Amino acid sequence: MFKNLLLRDLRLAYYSSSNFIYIGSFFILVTILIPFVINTETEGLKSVFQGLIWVGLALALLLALDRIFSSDFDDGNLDIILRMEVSYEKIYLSKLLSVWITYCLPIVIIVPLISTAFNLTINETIFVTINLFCGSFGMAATAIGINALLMGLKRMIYLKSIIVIPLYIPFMIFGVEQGSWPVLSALSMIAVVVASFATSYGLRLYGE
Amino acid sequence: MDYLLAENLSCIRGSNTVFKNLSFKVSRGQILHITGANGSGKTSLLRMIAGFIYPSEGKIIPEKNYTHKDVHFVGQKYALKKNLSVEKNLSLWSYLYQKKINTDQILSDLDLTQYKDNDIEVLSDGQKRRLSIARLFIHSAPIWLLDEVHVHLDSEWQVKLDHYIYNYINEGGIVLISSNTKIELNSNIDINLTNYNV
Amino acid sequence: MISKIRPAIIEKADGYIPLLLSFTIITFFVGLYFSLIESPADYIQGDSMRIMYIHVPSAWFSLMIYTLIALSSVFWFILRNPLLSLAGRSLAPIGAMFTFLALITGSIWGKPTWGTWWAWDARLTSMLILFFLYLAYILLWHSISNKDNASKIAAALGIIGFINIPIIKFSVDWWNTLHQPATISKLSTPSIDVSMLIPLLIMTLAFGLFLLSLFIIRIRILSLELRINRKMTY
Repeated sequence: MFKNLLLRDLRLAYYSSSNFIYIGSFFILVTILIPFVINTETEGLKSVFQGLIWVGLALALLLALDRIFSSDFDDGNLDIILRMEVSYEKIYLSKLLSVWITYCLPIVIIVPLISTAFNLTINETIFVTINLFCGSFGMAATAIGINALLMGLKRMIYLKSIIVIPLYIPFMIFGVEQGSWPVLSALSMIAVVVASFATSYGLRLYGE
Repeated sequence: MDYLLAENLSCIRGSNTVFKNLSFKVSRGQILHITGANGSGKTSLLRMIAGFIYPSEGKIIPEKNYTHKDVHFVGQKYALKKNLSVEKNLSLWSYLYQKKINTDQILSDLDLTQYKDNDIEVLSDGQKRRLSIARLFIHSAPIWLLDEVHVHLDSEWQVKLDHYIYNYINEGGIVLISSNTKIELNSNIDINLTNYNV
Repeated sequence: MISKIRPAIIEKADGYIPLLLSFTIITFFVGLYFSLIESPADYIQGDSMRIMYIHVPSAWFSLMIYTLIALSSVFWFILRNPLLSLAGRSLAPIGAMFTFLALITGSIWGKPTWGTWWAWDARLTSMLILFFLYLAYILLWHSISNKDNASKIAAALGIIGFINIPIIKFSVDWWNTLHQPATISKLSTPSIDVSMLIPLLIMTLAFGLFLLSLFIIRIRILSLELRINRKMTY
């Protein structure tokens, strides 16, 4: 069932406009804004890029924030899921994987490919990508946990964003520093665990 | 299981008591029909039996052998993704129900073959309702909980649905069905929730 | 299950309000006297340092109130007493107000000290984030119309936010040491001399009494509202 839920989410993302092409293009376009708004060359480009990729990740997850459980909740599919033989934890883990693959993986793949355009060396690129990889799990988990708690609220994307962005800040602070992947991994682990509790609670509440 | 027993159920949503002291017993091969005014708690009762909500008082028996998979809840929402085609929706259901679905067979049974590649948005409410009831035949369970499923169906299809329900009963199923308006179904037990409202 | 709210406690507390408010005002004026007149000016900063007497208690209370919200959320999960969820709901705007006050006073303090109205130092930045945590909590209560559901979600959010506070403090401190020059530590209280301690304590007491008064007034209003709503739906 875990596999089924995961595959179903990935299929849904593919059918809707949340697949690699869309998320990838959105993200690249966000980074393209940098040279237009920054006047200095080299150093400015590099440091803004390193920061903006995290903002881009947060923005991509913002698209997810309204949808993760809300879409199945609204149309009645969540009722079906909750009556199948599957624990809340499995539902959560399959969501974590599917959200990460849909919204974070495109970014983790694209960033190393485009970083030379922003004057990053290979070494820096490697660190940046590792940081992104470690931190993105935690950010995805946070988005899932918050959406699970607020499933029933329709179209309150700004409220969900206001709740979520302060929770993203620690990830972003450490994300832009090279070599801080241990801290990011620790933060991600905390987020993954706390979000699993939040999700179980949210799923139980919204069974109503 | 051979019967479903409810003892002194009461339902409190928020700070309202929706209904109190409801007791009934439905055995295999029986249909229980729930009626009542809007807001009297028909959906809440069905969701309580399904296990989505916990009764504030009272209990549902059998407790121990009674798990999620014994119950098939078909509610007022269709569980269909609006922007996807009928065929895609059925394939998504096959993931949830963990069964291979013979799409063509189902669509021909429902008379919806020509809509196979159309988006759900194109279908009328009656057609969506038909499709949403198809779930009952994809996944089997000893108890059916049907929440106002006759709504939007035309008379021909209401008769067909009743026919399916009778078949299911004859094979030993239990059906709890709620309705807002008069339906032709011959039920064994009738409960009007308005009598239990506070 | 509807738990009973015992109105007696709140009504009794409400009886003390006039007394409490009087004490608050008296303490406040005493504190102001000590802050502005009796205590010495700072050797370096001069009189502008005096704003510390408002800034420090506000900052301290803003954090303490969030802790109280988190505690009431935890106990609400265990006991389910509606007064506990009302406590969180009452405290949040008060906490947000103290946080805002801390931010404003911090900014005012900063102008003569560093020359700018705002600086991205650890203290102010953490406070800013805390303000948004409060805001999120308040908006959550506001957005969910079914207040019983709102209690559950708000309690969860209260706890999640509280777990996040040390993480944010840790992150922002770390970020600060990396990016900010060391000069921006003037917002930390200077080594406390007795003459400075007294006004600080008095102002803290004043703020505490103010918090208590506001809290009692607000929770009384909210609990009355809750009881009216419950009666009306029968």
